[in-house]
Amino acid sequence: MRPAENIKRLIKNTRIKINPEVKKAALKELTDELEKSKTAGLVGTKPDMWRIIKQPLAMKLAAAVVIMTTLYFVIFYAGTNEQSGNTELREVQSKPLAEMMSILTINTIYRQGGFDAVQRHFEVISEMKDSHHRHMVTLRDILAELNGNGYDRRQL
Amino acid sequence: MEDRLLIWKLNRGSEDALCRIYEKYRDDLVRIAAGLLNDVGTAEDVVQDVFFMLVHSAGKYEIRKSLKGYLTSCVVNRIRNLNRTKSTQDPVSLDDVLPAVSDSKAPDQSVISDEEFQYLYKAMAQLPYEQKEAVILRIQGRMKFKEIAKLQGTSIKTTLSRYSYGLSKLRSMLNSEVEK
Repeated sequence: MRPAENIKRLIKNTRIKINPEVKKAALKELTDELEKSKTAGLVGTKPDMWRIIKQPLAMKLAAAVVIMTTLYFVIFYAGTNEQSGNTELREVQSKPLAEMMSILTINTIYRQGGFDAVQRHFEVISEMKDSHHRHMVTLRDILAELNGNGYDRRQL
Repeated sequence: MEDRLLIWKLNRGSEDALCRIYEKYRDDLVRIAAGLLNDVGTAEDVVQDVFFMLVHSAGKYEIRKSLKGYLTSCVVNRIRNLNRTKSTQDPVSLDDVLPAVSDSKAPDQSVISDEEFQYLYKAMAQLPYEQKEAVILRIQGRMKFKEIAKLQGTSIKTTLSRYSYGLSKLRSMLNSEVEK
């Protein structure tokens, strides 16, 4: 009795001797056919990117993530760049002196550029004052005056 | 990984990729087709048709799974279509089956060596086609039962049954041949 494993081995080891000339001729036919297809523009063109993206689920998800991330950055970070902040600061500094020294104005400047911006703002104000009171007014001076410490400016 | 690279290159018209795929899979596919058809000449024609189809479809389709599995499926489907038109699978007795070996020295003839294999092919010619397909795809094609079941359009259990019935019939036929 021939065991089943023997049958499997027999089937697995089946050999077919193939004439190499026949094989070579068959391969030549195929390469000629490939050349014809390339000439006809059917092969070798770049695959449609949209077709590639839309087919596998993983590619669809990856494309969705990229699009959403791009939109997020455009919407939420486009309005907070330094350039727009600097434009607002210049607009504030072109207004009348009284308005420049108002609390609202100082608050706006602080939000845009922090204490450094407020310091620069007061340097501009001090340059606009007349020579009698010409001196550098620092942020500390203004805060002290606002806090009611009775600080006498004339003594500066 | 190599297969994916070869397909990628073939989609872009690479002849080297085509040659590499041909060298890698052609002999196995002919072996499978010859087992299913009991005719090596027709098997070579079928495999050649499949490769022509691969060339024409390069760049149009994306082969996501195994390239060998894809090519094997194409061969099997083509053979089924051939059988529908030719009815070559009528059961015959062992004495009536033409020998698969050819004595011709013509360059376009292929031969199957060894008497043992001749008996095997004669025995396989007697099997019902579905059983023969399950046995050959499993052993020579090294396909999983799940893949064979999908190809045959049946459940895995049915494929397993066909495979085991096919093997036991082959065993009994070959044993009776040996005892003669």
